Amino acid sequence: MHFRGYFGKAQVETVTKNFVPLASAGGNNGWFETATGKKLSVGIPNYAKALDEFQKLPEAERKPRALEPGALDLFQDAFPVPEGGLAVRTYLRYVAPDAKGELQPAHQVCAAEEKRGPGYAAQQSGPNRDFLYLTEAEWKALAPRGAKGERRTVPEAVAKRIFVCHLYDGVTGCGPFWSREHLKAGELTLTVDEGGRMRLEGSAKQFAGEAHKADWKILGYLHFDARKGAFDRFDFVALGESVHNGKHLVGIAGELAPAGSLGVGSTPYWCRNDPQGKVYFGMKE
Amino acid sequence: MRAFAAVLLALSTAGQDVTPKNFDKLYATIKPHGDEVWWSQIPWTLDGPEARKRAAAEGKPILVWTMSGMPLGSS
Repeated sequence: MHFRGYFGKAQVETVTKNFVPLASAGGNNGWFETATGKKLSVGIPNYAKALDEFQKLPEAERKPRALEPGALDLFQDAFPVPEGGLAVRTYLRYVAPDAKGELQPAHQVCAAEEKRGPGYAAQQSGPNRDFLYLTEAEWKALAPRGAKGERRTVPEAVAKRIFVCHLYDGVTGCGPFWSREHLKAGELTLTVDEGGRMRLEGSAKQFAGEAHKADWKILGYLHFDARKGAFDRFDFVALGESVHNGKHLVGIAGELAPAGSLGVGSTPYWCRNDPQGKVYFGMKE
Repeated sequence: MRAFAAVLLALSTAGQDVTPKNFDKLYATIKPHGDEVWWSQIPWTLDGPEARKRAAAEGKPILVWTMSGMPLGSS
């Protein structure tokens, strides 16, 4: 998600032209700083004031130059995609039926966020995001092997990673983590259609208590390009009735995220407590 | 795993379901649209050292967008 007024249409050109835009975990909102880490006094979205302050710095701090060793030691937050691996970008948002019964985006409010100030949560815009990562061996194991109609269970490590780490109410960024013991049931299958197309179907149920539980239905469509030996479609939707800070209908959509595309390398939400991904990539038990 | 996979669930997503019929519409509903995507037009980097090199080479300040999670991922 992002904040309205920070990076809207009017700000895109200003930011792109005048700043080096860096996204990093570890705080709230953001700031401006020089190449050597000197923080400016104003924060986002005070772009004009930041530029003005920057221009008033001594020339030695502004002009193009080589950096000294040690000046590059910060911001090691990224989570490398496994070599040869596959990244799936997911979007999470609340949905609710309209008068016709069709699901539409629903307002997103998180009580914890709202405590930061009046209207804080209302400034949030758009779905939250996350990334699902598969190793090379894992995505290759999903490729179609048989003729139309072949149906098989998704390998346990991948299925459990999806159920435990990626089916959650993270819409407002306040969602709690599931643990493996919270997964009470789950099924995920792949069925081969024609021409490399595959259908992903399943369901999952998590329970950490009456105040934190969820039921999910999953449907997706994948396509494997046999000539390239790679998936070129990995679309899925998970729809879940979630109980956490109230009852919500959570929609999660996934799409293939090519290497180098926006945000690839972001740490999966679940891996905040598993920064090396040891449990994330070893989720069998 | 057999026991794990063998459990079939009674789905109860408040009477709502994702089906082949509504998949495309629901998929589009969940993904960002309209004024929700402008920030993604900015050429963000996740690489701090690279950002500092660029800032030094171009004589620009760095805009650090930071949240409790990753702004371009889960935040």
